[in-house]
Amino acid sequence: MTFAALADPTRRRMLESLSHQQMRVTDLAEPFAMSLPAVSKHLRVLEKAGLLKRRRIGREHHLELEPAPMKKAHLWIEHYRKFWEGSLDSLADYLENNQPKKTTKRKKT
Amino acid sequence: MSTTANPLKLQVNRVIKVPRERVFAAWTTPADIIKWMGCGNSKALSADVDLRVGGKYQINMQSSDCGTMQVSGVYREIKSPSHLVFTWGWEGSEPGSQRSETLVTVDLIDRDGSTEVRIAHEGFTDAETCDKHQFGWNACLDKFEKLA
Repeated sequence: MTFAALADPTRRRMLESLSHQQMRVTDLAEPFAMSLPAVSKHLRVLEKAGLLKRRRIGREHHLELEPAPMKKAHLWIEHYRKFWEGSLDSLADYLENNQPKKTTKRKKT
Repeated sequence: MSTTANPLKLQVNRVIKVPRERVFAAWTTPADIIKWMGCGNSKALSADVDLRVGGKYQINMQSSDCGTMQVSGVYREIKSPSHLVFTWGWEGSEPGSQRSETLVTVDLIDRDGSTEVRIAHEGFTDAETCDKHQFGWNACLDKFEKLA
């Protein structure tokens, strides 16, 4: 659910705003050219994905970033980075040390 | 602005001192693939390649912690020797386990006879993050920690 929630650029911008400070829904919504219900819809997706917490103070809703799921998503991508970096190390090692003496151009695929 | 940038796309680059034709062949020839794909304790054992758009590839991999798993996908774009796009998905060992597919784009850029390899991997979904897909990752991390 994290990846689906993060796939939308508007939602990523919302999280970016919240990464600096807690915010009221109205303050968070302000820079976005969309209706409050539309903002609320995005917030619900983020909430459902566990990416933000909502606290009610009087009549106001305060939003706060919940960093754990995002960290998990980044960690997952980091795993892939290691996989490809490791593979490219092996690929370089394999190709650079196994070059035929003549030319490599006539390699059939 | 780290959260504004697309966090769902991964890019890895590397210059290899051989011509593009050789690198392209290494990505698309089973006998080559098993020599380099994988890291640490995860290694490709065998590979099948049907190199045409819509054709399928399958790579059997083994890791010390997770046994054997298959990665497979379909070629979407093939432009020898510069460009290769294919889907990438792990087949779980359990029957009926959920399969998710991501997308890998490989660009090979000529650098005075050497080749800059650019890998872009995107389209990650949450289905992928389940534990059984943690295949070989620990091995990769261990290797890098040793280097650090």
